[in-house]
Amino acid sequence: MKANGREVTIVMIEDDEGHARLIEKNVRRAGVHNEIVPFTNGTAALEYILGKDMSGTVSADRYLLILLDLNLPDMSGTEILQHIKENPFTKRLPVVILTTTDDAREIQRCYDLGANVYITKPVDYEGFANAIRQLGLFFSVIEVP
Amino acid sequence: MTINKPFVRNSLIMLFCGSALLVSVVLSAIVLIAQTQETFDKLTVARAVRTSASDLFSLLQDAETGQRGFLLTADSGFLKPYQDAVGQIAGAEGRLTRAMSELSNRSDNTAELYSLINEKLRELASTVEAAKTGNLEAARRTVLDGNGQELMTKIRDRMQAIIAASDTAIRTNVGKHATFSDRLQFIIIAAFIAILVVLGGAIYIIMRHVRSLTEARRELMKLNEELEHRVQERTQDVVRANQEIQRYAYIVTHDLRAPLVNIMGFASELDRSIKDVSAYVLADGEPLSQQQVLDARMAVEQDMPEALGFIRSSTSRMDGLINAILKISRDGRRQLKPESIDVREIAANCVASQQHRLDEVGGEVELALSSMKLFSDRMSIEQILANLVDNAVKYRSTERPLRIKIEAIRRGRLVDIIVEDNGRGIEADDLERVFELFRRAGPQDQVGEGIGLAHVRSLARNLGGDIDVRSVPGKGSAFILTTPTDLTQVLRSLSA
Repeated sequence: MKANGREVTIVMIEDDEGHARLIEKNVRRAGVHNEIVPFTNGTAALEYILGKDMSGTVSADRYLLILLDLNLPDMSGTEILQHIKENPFTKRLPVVILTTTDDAREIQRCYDLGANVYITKPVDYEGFANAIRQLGLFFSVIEVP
Repeated sequence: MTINKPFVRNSLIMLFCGSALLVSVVLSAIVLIAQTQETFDKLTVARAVRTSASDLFSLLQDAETGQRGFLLTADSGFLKPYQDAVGQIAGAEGRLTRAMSELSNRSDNTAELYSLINEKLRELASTVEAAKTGNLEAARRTVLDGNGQELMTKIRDRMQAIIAASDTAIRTNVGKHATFSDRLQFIIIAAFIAILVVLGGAIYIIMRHVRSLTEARRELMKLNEELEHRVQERTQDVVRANQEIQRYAYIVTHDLRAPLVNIMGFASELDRSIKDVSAYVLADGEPLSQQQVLDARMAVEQDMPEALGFIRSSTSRMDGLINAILKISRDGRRQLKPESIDVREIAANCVASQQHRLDEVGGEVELALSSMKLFSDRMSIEQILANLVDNAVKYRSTERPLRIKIEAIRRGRLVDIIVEDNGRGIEADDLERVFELFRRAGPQDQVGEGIGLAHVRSLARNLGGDIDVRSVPGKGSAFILTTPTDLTQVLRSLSA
């Protein structure tokens, strides 16, 4: 997965290490070999994406794809989404919401805030693996600025 | 309305008293006036008797004087007064008889008196007749024989008796008259005072009734307002509880589902690894490719232990979550035991039990509260304070020594117990989140499950209170526990 000839970095914000590992395994199996930077909490992830000063300038010439879990211990995923989509440097980065929540209002809210894809983690593993594989296909066609 | 009964009874009694008083005053006044009239009439009669008796006697004296003058001088000029007096005597006798007849106790004997008078008149007439015919000597003899004198004395005695009786009657009746007037006056004054008392009593009762009516209305309005307020409060409570249950269910299902996803996922991964391994183990001498050998090695060395590790940690995580939920639910069901407790004492105990940790981090606690009695559940208050102090130690600022201040402020039936620290503080967006189950705020650099404050909140609400927080990020936080001073009232209103 490349954008403008540059490798895209996948930022995975997922507090559950097991989930993170499963996502990584399935992403790899889908044939996506981009670098994955994992975070287990929102504070550190936002610091990485927007920089310590939260200005977003650090991401001005980075090509990131963000995999975001909504239920994080320190802040809500929607808050992170809002921060990313409000920042002029990061608002065009694709954000994939990957979470256990299937609440319709929550999904609507994420799309309203500018999420590109919303995927519910199914409890049965086949569904889970399938979703990630489709995500891999999606990665291959998505346009990262 | 039960309020009206005594009022109706009292006013009826008052009305009855007043009427009875007025009737008795009027009746006694009528009786007294009648008695006064009677004595007055008796007085008049006695006076008339006295006057007519003395008139009669003086006429008799006039007649005698005229007779004596005529007999002495033989001058017929003296006959004139004699004749005048004699002519008037019959009228005077009639007047006396009439007056005497009106006298109630007629003990006298006017007949005897009149016969004496007639006898005297006859004696007078005989002398005068004798003198007229020139027989002066015979007339003088008649006078001298003392018969006329004696008659006159008898008449005078009778007259004086009548006059004396009249005088007595006049005196007694005048006395009676004065007594009756005094009584009438006394009764009128007494009636006046009694009417004033009855009137005053009636005004007092009416005023009291009006006052109690106004008071009752005011109380009713207050009750109404209170009721409305309470309904509103209860509705808010119900809405809040409902929202909380929803949020709770949402969190619980999500947090339980997350480890489940892991278990299912790694079970499948394990399955996949077994395939890799079995390809190697069950090859039965068939040639294996380089890749198959590598995969089997990878599966045994890395994938399988990893999968097992995740499955294990996920099950223990689930167990932990279920235990936490159980703990909170058990606390919610625990029978609260209201007892007399001292907030300062509990705070001091709580600080003492954490003293070694405070010493480790160089923290100090200021107990800025005086002894304050509450009637509440000791265990709940202790757990709340212990959790709050524990959090203050955990989330202290690394830039300055920890300072905790515990205060208590009484606000009517409620008391605010405030635990204030100078720790790292909480972002405004996270203020509500910190109380949610399994949620934590800020950098995740401390061990924790996200249960403490959720537990504190459910404890506080069970006590009929709540917990709130205000915070300045980077400066410190203050947790405010609001709780009723008397838990029994809350429990009573809950069971009502």
